[in-house]
Amino acid sequence: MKRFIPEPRRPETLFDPCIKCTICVSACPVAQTTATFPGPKQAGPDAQRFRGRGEPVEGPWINLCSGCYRCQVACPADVPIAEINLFAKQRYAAEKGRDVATELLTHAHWFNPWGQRFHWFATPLLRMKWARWLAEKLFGVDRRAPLPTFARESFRTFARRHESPRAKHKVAYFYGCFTDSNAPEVGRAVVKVLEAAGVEVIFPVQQCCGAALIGAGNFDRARRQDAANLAAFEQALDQGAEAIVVGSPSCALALSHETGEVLGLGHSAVYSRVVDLFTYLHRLDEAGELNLKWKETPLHAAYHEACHLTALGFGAHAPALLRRIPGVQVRVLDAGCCGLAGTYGLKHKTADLARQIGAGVARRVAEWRPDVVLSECEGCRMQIEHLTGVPAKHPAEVLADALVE
Amino acid sequence: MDRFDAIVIGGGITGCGVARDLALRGVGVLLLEQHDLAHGATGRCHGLLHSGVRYAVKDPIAAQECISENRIVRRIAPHCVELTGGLVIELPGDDPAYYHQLRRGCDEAGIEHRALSPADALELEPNLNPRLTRALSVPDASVDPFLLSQENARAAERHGAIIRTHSAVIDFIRDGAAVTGVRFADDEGEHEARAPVTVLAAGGWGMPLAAKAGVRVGLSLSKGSLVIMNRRFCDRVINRCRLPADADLVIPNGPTSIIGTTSITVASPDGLVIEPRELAVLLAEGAALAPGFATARALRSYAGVRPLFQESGDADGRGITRGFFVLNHATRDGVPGLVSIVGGKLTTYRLMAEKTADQVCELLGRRVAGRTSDTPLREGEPAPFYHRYERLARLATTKPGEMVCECEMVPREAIRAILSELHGRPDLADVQHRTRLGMGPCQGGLCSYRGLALLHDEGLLAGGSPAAVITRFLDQRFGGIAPVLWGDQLREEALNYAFYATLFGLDRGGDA
Repeated sequence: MKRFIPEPRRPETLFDPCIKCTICVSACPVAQTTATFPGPKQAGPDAQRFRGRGEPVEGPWINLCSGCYRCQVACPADVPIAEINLFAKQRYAAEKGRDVATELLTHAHWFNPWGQRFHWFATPLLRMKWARWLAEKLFGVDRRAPLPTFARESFRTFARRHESPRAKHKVAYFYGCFTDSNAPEVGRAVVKVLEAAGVEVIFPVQQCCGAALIGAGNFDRARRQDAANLAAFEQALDQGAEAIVVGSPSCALALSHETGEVLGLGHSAVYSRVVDLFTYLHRLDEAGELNLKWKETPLHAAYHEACHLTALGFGAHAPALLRRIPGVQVRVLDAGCCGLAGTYGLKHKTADLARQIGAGVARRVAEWRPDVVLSECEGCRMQIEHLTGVPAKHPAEVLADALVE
Repeated sequence: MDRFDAIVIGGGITGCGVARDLALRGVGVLLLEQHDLAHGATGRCHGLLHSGVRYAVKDPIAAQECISENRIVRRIAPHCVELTGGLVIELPGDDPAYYHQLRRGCDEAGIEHRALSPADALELEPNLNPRLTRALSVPDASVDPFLLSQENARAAERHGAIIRTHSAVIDFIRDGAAVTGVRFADDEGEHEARAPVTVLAAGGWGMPLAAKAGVRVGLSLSKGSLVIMNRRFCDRVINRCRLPADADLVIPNGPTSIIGTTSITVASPDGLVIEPRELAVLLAEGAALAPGFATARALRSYAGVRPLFQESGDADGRGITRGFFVLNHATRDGVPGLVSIVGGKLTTYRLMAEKTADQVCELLGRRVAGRTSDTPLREGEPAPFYHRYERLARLATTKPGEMVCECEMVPREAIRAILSELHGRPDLADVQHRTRLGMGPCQGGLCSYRGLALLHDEGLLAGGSPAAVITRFLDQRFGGIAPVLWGDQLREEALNYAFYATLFGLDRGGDA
């Protein structure tokens, strides 16, 4: 199918509605932590008035925007502040280039399959102090930052042989790179929960959603990947999938929002059908169609709402569902951003800042001492484990374990 | 300090130019301005350094003056001019014959012009109306009228001139028929100053003053209204390829675009009202040049008066010459010691000043030639012109809490640097004219209060009423916002109202 691609959206048309109320600044985890970032209002709508075609770019401070979208969510005037910053990062990178760490980490989807294939070597390697020291010196990947482990079997291998039973509902599952190479157990849990809820799951061939690339202003490469994703998932919708269920909020945001609004890939039926797992389950429940049986599961959990889940705008429906499991206690952390923000917490340049941003989350986890921290976002899970030592899981994993089979 | 060789009344670009020209010739000058420099017509113009293309068909003399002065101003005041270049674009429905007349006129006036294909024009300016049929490139430029006036005044001061703002002339001192000086008032009271020659360079405000000397100066006051848009739609001056009419010029000005103008004859330069029908014309015609205008945010609207010289006859604003006239009231009206400079335009201010100074020197019996055409306004390497990316760079160098005006990126130190020019009178509009404070989207919403605090910290509010200072500024800002009070600007102003009227209780609270 040939895609109609309109004129890409231009950042110079986006700042007009800003009324300078500055609410975004109080919502920005970076601006609340460091004075080196001028804050979302100045970096976004204010600065955009001063970015001219062919004129020199601003300082590297634009890359201090972590891309958490909290400013944009807070904005009462609907200024797409986070997106203005993405365009600015693209403009900055076009003149100044990107550093090695950014290039490396935003292309993790290239290395992940190799890491996974050679997991017996790669996982221990990423835990070795000298290797991490070297990676920091050579590539700028912070030596203390949390890095994932590689799975023995990728999720896509599981998906290839898995046959989901026919059911009343049918969804296409976008599992994302991290689930594929680093946490296939999350993917298997998602599938198990969906199937138990009477949903058939299909697995269209998929590529990295490009969230990290978009966050680094590398739109060209992200565009190629997402054009293929849109085509694959449009086909899935044609084949009767009623929704595209996404496990990771950042992937969901990239597919439903950034692909059209930032990458300018044109209209797609995909955008409005993308939904996070718990919103999908919530909708089934609202329709009276969610009949899951739980076994007693004693668990004291803290729930962390990922910034990008908030940005999706559907709400965080996991805690309410988790509380139906007998024995499960869930408290919502509500302590702000964890700081990781994709690659932000991994790069040596910003890793310390990311840890400072996440200090509020870490403090609350330390106070509550839960058995587990639950979050849909893999970045948040890595960071919270890193900052607190408390294990972190996708809430679907708790659901899957508590199902009466 | 009450005796001078010459007194100049009016601190617009003409008066500042005359003061500088005279000072360079060694004439002791006092300049009196009732408000701030460039407060009147100068600060309410387009900010266009004409190439002359606008007059190439209708007024060849004005066209020649424009291109000649355009080259001089670029040379002597590079830091006041953004070398944008200009385009003349023809749209469907414009008279195709005008394009050829225009090129002939440009050839005759010596204005460089180059035909561009519509595709090339759109490549240069992607926001233009894609249906444009022809385009010409011409040497128009964008000029900062406030800065140009201030720089002329500063140069005059360096050569011994005294510049007094917020000093309103009340009357002339007469010796028989002759004008021998003026009485003027400032915050401290009334003063007298004497000089053998007084130059009236007060534009539209000159008529009532001239009448006090028993002289009639025939001016036709033509109101021109303009709208400032929140975005810079084009990097070049855009002219419509037709006989000068309403709203056929879009001029880039820093981060904004200015569209103008209208032309309506009025009786007084004060209390100008911008009528809804003017705004409708400006925005509709703006959208014809650049379609984005239709949905973009208008920041404010303002109106100025062209003080066009009209000794007799009844031509309307567009029909009267843009030429200028130096009137020696001794020979014209039997009032020695008084000279008026009338008509003209910003682009030709230097030539106007030179001719006026020639007349003054003749009256003073001094034989000194003017040298403003080859003397830069600043010695040495002048500071570069305001560029947007330089403001952007301030974000990296300004500490938190130091940015007073966030919209226009004016840090505390930029304001401190000009405080000595405020002549003891705290006025946020004076700060605005020198730094762009309050000229961005929020129109003073965040910076008025911070600016007031800064004036206070610097001891400039001693004895005065802070409420009066801030209310005066907010009222001035609101005067320009009121005509465009819809959409984004309405929401902005609702927020500002909540800040200042509701929270701070300034509505009717100030005694300004």
